Amino acid sequence: MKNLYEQGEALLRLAEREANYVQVHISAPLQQKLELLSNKTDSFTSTEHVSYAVLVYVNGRSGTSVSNTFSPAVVERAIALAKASSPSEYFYGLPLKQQLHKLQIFDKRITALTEDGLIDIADEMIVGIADETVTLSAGSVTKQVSQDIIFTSEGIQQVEQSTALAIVAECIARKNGMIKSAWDYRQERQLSPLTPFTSALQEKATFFLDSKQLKEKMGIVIVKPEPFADLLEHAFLPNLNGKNNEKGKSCLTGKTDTQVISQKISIYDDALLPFGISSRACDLEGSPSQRTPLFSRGVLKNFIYDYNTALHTGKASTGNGGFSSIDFTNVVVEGEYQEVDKALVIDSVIGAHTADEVATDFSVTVERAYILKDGEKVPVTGFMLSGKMFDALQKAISLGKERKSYNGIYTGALATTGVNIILS
Amino acid sequence: MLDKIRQLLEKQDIRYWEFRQEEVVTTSTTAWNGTIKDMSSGAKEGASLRILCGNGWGFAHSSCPDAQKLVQQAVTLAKAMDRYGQKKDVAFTKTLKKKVESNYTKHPNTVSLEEKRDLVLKASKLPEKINNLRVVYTDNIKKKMYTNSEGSEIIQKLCYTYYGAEATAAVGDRMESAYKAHGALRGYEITDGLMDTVTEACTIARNLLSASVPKGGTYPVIIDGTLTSVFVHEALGHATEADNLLSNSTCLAGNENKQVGSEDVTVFDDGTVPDSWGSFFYDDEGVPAHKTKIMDKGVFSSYLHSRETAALTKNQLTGNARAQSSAYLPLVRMSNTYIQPGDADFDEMVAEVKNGIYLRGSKGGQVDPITGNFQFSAQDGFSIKNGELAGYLRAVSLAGNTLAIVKNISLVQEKYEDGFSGHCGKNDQSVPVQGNNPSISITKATVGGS
Repeated sequence: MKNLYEQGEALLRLAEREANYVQVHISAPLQQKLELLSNKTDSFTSTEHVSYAVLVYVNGRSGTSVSNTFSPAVVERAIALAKASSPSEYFYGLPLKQQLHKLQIFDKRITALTEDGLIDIADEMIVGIADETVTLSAGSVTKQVSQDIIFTSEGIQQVEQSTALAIVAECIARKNGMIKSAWDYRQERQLSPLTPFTSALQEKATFFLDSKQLKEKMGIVIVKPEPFADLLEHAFLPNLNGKNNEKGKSCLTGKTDTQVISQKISIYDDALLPFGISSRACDLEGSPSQRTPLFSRGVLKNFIYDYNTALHTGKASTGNGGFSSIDFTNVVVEGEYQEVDKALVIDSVIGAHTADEVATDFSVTVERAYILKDGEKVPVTGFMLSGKMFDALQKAISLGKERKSYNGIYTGALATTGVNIILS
Repeated sequence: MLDKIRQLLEKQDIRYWEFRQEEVVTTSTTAWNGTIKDMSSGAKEGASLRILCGNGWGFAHSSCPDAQKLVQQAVTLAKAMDRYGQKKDVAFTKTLKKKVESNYTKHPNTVSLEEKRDLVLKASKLPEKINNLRVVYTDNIKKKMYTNSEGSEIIQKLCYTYYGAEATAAVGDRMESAYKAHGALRGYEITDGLMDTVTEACTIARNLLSASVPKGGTYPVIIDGTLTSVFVHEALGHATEADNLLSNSTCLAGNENKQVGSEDVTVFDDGTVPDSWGSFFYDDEGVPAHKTKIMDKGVFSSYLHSRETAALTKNQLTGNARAQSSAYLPLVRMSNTYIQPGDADFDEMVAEVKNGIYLRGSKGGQVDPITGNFQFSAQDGFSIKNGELAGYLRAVSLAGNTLAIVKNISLVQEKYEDGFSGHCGKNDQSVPVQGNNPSISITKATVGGS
């Protein structure tokens, strides 16, 4: 039986018989997941999933096919789809082979974790979070060891191995008839101590137990990294996609090289971030990974592009090409820090995914928040946060120093005056 | 392979096992402004084995399964869990030997790729005053084979078809978008409705350009059938999933058989609705789909169950254990969830509101089932002044607490309105869900706005 590399090469050669250009991507993650329920380990799963994806271009027409079994059929389907398709609006080819970076995305300590090792981590989570007030109601520990293989008709032959350990925990604090939930997750490419995660989550659950109704609005709102990343992902980042820009579906169209958001904020797409969860040597088209400035001190500098959209708009690929898509890698938000001594601090929201990505409107329920005043923290509840992400970023006054990562977005907390508080 | 698995499992001390095999072929065409953006196909196969050894669950999946390896992995993991785990149990059913197939008039496999291409090409031609229009068509043909240690053998052939349209309109710097979609457990024939859906999305996007944002605050509200579907699913339905009861993380715990809502509210979850996007014949634990009354005239009457939650809570099975694919463990999930129509006429509902908001359509929502706090965003809406629909609204959302809002439902429309064909996410898994619901009036809720 052929190994994955040989299988990739075989699919490429088969596709090249009829196609002018070919992309092959084989993804082979091995995953073990241990689930927790009510302060105990609950079930253990093991999944082996190989995905064979082939994108072909036949006389300027494209077809994509995906299968989880190695078979000529995956190529035949892609060719049939391309022949049935209509000509692409534009097509310039695929990038030629270039020198690629070698990235740090593998930790052999994760591969060495046994079933008992994962159970030990789960036990450490339970011990670190559960007490007489707090229950670890649900959670999971997931180990993933992946192999990604990319072949293109332009000579790319890339093999990359990566590791990831994901920890999810949801807990409930109950005291004197009061109840509060708290949730957090961490996904990392290398092992790191668990204590900061568990102690922060336990403290979060208990601190917000005795939240009082928010009575009045405050001028400065600090949105902590998790809700800020959530809102940024759903209510702003799609506007930085080069395809949306080209199609008139971005509120940032025509604003390149102008001051669009606060000069205190810079945003990058950075596929080279050491141990970044979306770091990789090249994109699925074979373009080398890079760090792309999107906003530099508030000035719009670029969008993310694949090879063809970039050439069509007179740009260069930013290494964000997928299979007929343009995808972010690691989004890194940087900014100026300024001490804020009085603010409403938003710790968690629900409903960010319902935001309007084009208008950048959002309106979310605040799950956990506190008033920060002269170093004192008073937990509050019972209100909504709304506005436009555009305004929130324009009126940013500070970005927190402590950077966290959620869904591939690496950011500190955003302090802004550009959001609305709706009292209930 | 099944015989080999049976043979290998006979040598193990196992309380229960189930083996699931799946073959799925998906075809998708997407056009953007009258040009094909993507034509793609996916063909996936896989098998999984789930076993209960003592008090430990083990689950192994592979896309290229080998009987010996699956059994060895599942047994190793189950035994590891048995050493550390908590009490486990399984509710049993009678042995079932079934072969079923969903309805269709025109099976998608009989439609050429060229016809599917032309469908989205034609539908995505830019109409007036729309600067971007994306149209997607997808069919998903599944063959699911289920076998368990009770001797059940079930084969389901399911054909899901879905289409959607996203329109964007712009004037100057102002840009608005709208998305409408429809899916069914049916064949290609449902695409007869595609052009109406495209027209609707375009109309909403254009109209939103002249809409204003409501002043946020507490109002009496009316929510249409689509948003009611999201409300019933998110706010109430998730709290009835009995795995949340086992983790003590539902706001309904302790309220069994108690009056928690208005007497006007009777709610069902029903996986048997013919041809519906959220329907199936048997769940992923081989239990027949079921119509379950989860609320009866405001009384919380039933949780939704998997084999494990039914056994541990000593309740009847409801056929709600669903998995995204054979690669995933079945979880307790909803199917088609809806409020039973009442006796109110929509105009009468509006006439009763002096100063309120009518919310229409959905952009999705989210709930914390532990506290019952929720948030939903509407596609658009209207203010209501002195019993009449007034100004057109955008960026309008609804927030509240499940137990408070269910009590505040004052009127339920006499008929079903538009449904919502969606995907529900839970523990990294997504399954199709549907709701066709009446409009409802809520005496007091928080509306998000400016």
